[in-house]
Amino acid sequence: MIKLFARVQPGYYPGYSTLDQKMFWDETTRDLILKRVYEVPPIRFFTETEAKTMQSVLGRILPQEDRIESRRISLLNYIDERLYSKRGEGYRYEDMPEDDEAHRLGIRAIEIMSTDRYGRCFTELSSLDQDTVLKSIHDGQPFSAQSIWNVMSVQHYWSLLLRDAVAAYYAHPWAWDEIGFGGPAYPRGYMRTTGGEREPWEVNEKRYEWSSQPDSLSDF
Amino acid sequence: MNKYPLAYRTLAVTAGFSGFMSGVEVALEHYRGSYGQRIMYSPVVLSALLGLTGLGAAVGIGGAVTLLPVASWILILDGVLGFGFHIRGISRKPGGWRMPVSNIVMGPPIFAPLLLPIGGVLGWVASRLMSSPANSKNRTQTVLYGVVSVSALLNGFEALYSHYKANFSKRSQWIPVILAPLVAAVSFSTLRDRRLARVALPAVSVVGVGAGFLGSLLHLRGTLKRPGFKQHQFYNLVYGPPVLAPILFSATGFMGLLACYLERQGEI
Repeated sequence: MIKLFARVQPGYYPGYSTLDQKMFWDETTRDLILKRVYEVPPIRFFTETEAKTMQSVLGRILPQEDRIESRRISLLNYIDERLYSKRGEGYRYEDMPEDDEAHRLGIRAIEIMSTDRYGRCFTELSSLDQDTVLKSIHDGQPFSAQSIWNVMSVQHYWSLLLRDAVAAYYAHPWAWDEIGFGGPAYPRGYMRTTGGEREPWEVNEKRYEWSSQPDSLSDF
Repeated sequence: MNKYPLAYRTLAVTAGFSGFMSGVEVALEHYRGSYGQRIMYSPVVLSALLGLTGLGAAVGIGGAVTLLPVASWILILDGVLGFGFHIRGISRKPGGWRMPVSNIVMGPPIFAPLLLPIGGVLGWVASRLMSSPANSKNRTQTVLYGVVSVSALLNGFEALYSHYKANFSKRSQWIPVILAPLVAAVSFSTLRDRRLARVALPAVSVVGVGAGFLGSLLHLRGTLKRPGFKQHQFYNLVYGPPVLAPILFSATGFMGLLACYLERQGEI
């Protein structure tokens, strides 16, 4: 097993770039994706302290230590943009406040839990302690901040947090390159539809062994 | 007794046979295109007509001999018309000519309509020879060699992009791509060097005929090996590799052989 190290492009598809295909997208799609990559929205919804906590939380939910600094996907900014512009998913659970309010409450709860158990704020905890806090929420058994969990469902908050992180990450071309996803297919389409052959612009999979970080609870 | 020599009758049979074969092929392909436009029926009907008149002329039915050149020419014109429609079809695909590779590969087969009337050309040559054997020798010869060259090239290009679509996953998919330009080059040089026509052309033509039949067998095998062939035979026939398409390459090779034969007999 090899420890993960920072790469320009992690994943099993070295040299694969969906952005190289941008001339084969329609204009609306191209504008949208290029804006997503090169014009990362500023933080406008979260306060400075909230942003710090949320950044650490996202760093444990979707760690990007296998990416070099300049190629990390700014999850916080994309989530902030969604909440700032009040872009919802079109539904809300009855035991949940609006998404923006839910995120604020969640961050407050995480901070309360960190202080209660470790006497420090979440950002200053070790990775293992951060994971312990988050895993208790994941398991639906948070060890404190009951006043908040009384007005917001633990499971639904966890699902919201995860959904937002994953949606932001996998909406990014760099994440597509990592997993070998082809990105927008219109109008170019796919031509090699049988026999598992790859398209001319795809690359062959090159697998490598890796182990998750030792200071992580994710394998337990 | 039939008043026409065996060579002419063979030619007429070949024209008819190739008409039937390409008729079946185009019927399947246009079925796949769900006969979206009514004109897509025309090559099916006209190929069948050529098939009937070709066979009729071969057995010496007077009316068929008269009809053969007409059927041949209508099919040739229909092919040219179809070529225009297929080009329009490609340009109408999303992205049009801005992304020529994917749209040629995925759109209507660009040169297929021009390959369809090979039988028409054979029929035309047959009817020319049948109506008056003394017909201007050089012109017929030139046309025949020219048609062999051009149809070999078109065949090669069709094979090139179709097999590119399949990612040349089997080495045999290179055969028509390499062979086609060879046949075209040899046939084209015969216009300058008649000796080539007696030796080199029959050689590459025989290989071409064989390669075409081999291709059809391999395409048939590919179709049979498609998942679920036993349950959905017709579906897999339509969506698998085109079983009869390589036969068109054989037809080209056959035309080359025929040209050599007539050259040797001094009959064109």
